[in-house]
Amino acid sequence: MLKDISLGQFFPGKSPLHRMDPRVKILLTMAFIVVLFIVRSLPSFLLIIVFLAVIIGISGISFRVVLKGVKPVLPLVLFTAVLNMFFITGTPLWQWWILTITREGVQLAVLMSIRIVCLIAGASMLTYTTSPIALTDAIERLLKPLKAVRFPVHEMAMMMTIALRFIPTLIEETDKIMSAQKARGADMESGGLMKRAKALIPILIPLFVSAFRRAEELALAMECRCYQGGEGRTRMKQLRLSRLDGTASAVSAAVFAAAMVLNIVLPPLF
Amino acid sequence: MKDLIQFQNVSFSYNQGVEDTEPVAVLHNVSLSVQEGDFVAVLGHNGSGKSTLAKHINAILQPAEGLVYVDGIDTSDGELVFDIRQRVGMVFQNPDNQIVATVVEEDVAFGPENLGVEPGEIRKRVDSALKDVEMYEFREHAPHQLSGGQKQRVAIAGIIAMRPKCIVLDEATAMLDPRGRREVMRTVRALNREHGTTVVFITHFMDEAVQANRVVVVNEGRILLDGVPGQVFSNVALLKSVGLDVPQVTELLYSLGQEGFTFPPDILTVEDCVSQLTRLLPQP
Amino acid sequence: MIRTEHLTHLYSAGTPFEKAAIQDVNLEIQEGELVGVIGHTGSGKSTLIQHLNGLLKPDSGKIYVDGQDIWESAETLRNTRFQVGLVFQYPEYQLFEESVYKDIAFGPANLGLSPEEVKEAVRRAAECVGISESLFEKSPFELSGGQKRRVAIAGVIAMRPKVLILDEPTAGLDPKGRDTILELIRSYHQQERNTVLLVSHSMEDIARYSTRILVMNQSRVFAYGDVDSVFSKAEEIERIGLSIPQVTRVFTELARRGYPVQPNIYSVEAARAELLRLMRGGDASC
Repeated sequence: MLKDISLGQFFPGKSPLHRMDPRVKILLTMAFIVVLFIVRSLPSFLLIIVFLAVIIGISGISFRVVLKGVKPVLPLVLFTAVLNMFFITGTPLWQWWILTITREGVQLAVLMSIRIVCLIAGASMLTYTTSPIALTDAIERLLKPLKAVRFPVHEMAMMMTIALRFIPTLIEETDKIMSAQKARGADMESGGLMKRAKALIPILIPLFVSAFRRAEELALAMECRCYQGGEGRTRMKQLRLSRLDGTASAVSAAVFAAAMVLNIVLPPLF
Repeated sequence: MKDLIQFQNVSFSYNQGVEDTEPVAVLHNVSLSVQEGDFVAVLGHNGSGKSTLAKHINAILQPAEGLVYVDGIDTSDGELVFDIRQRVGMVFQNPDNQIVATVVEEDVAFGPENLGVEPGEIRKRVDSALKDVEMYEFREHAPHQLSGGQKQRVAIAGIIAMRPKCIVLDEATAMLDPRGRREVMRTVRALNREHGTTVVFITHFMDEAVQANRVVVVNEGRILLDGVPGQVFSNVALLKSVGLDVPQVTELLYSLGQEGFTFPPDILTVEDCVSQLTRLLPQP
Repeated sequence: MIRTEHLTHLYSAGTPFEKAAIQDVNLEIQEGELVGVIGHTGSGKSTLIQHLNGLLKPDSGKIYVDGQDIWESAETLRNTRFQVGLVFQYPEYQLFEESVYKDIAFGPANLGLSPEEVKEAVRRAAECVGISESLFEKSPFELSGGQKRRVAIAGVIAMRPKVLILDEPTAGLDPKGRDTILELIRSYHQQERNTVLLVSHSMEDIARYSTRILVMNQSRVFAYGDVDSVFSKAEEIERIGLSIPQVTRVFTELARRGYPVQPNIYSVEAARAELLRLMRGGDASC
């Protein structure tokens, strides 16, 4: 079912992670990703994995949920791993016909797999603990300097909010339209590529028609609630840095630095 | 009580002035006033002009002829559109298409934020609005987790957080199940009673119109009937002829009336109907 | 015609949020019935009807259409989709073709009928719902709301299903639009003599049009039987929060006070006749 998608979902809660300033969370996540792609030594990765596990523990979100979020990217992980294993040249470990697996290949495959899994798990901790609206709000504020070069920051943020708001609605609607067309004998599971693409028409057209109708009605409803763009607008929730954010930044910085140092002083994974 | 909304000889057509099309007349010379604190139901079938009428109240539409005043402001004054919309909030038909934010309380805050209200004050208004519609415990939910009736109550909270004098519900119950309809009705009745908010309730469900203080029946862009529910619904034949329902008991007593029995014409409830019948039936 | 045995469907099966959408539903629907289905949102009625044409797969239990277990093979499942026509809520939102004709023809064409047969099926279905042939070449998006809905219903009727299920076909319509659709369903049912399931929130409509009534509550069958037998439980039905027609309440109250009235009164016409009988019988001078 389409409804089971959990990537990008938000789980309300009261953990320290939930209470952190979203701007700080975004910046720390970005730093996390950078570190993840710089380091190559095993102890660094162990440190990062432990750090991630601690964060998940603090957030109060079950490991099962996080694993479920990682699941959709596993084919991608597998694919890159296989590619790496076979196509990296180096010391051969195993050979058959034209296929060769090299030591370097295996190492890179392991490295990339850990990176991708940690990346998804880390990034989903941001979305799991931050409401989409707080996220867009933070992005809007982080990008504020771009207003000087006439970048429509508020409009972008508003668009993102509305998109996020309507994703579940449209998913549900797609489900309904699909069932309705199936009930009229539409066959979406068999046939070649062309036939399948054609089978999408009865779903896409009603979906677009309804999306446009929704957009029109929403625009009217927004105008009726005195929306006139970002000018003169205040916000109920003010973002304020707290002690918590300071502590979190300091701890993260220490962990990231340690990972980098370990990376320099210890031999890399390959 | 003073008049909050005034329609003076209002006419309106769609496609007015659009080339190559015939204008479609929707409202014909409508005059109507609504007093502050009143609860008015506007009843009519689809295409009767009742929604067009509603859209004139907060300046979504301007009259082609005639004038509409809201709290003394002429709605055709483009400068004052937002002053009008702050005074008259509107709840629409589709509960999914009027919630902007991904969290209930953020959505309720949307209106006051647009008005530039100071953050602490918004928080207070949002909390009290959510309590008024009995959705406070859902304040951190996502809209798509709510039922239709709950979504409409959130939409109502979003309006009352702007502190309007009047709420217009434009067929806000048409897409709801009976439970959702009851929730919305109970909520707006409480607002009307406890806060004195003026309510204009556009509907085609007669059982909702029955609960208003005053019923205005619109047909073919004209006001057909206007009065207290009992008085309006006593016109059984006229209402049926324009495709509207009347309460079953009213219809029953009316049809018995045609057989020569006399009943008061304004019976709307089961209890009143039973006591009228027991008056005439042979004692058991 | 349709039989279900211990039908159960779970939401989020295997997770802590597991919840039964329908539970142990045993039903038998005879050919030619017009069954009114009523229940709160979330009572399981939508889940149930989506099982009857195989759109949802039961977690346990069986569904038989015409004696055939519908999940026996891919073949039986596909046949069921055509035998049991399902009209969803707000069906006008599923229209997509460039012309009314093509949209109604979508189902029959999927059935694999010849162009001649499709043409005949479309013509008959359109006639059934009162859509004139002059509208065939119009875009369905140009039609009025009521017309769109009738075209969408025709799209299912055109598949000549043995069972037609309509999920709240009158949702969002005004009284006039509601009566048009319900009358059309009634005349279709009388003409084709096939089985119809009508889901509605209005007990007045259900009482007026159905031969049998199915009441769903909290994912189980609350009551199922002919109109009189279901209404004999009027008080229990009110207790689960469903409303019963005003006139029925009047007669229940009169009976409670000891008046010799018939209990099975669901419509204004019947109520009028019954009261006239009593009043004229008791007081001949009137």
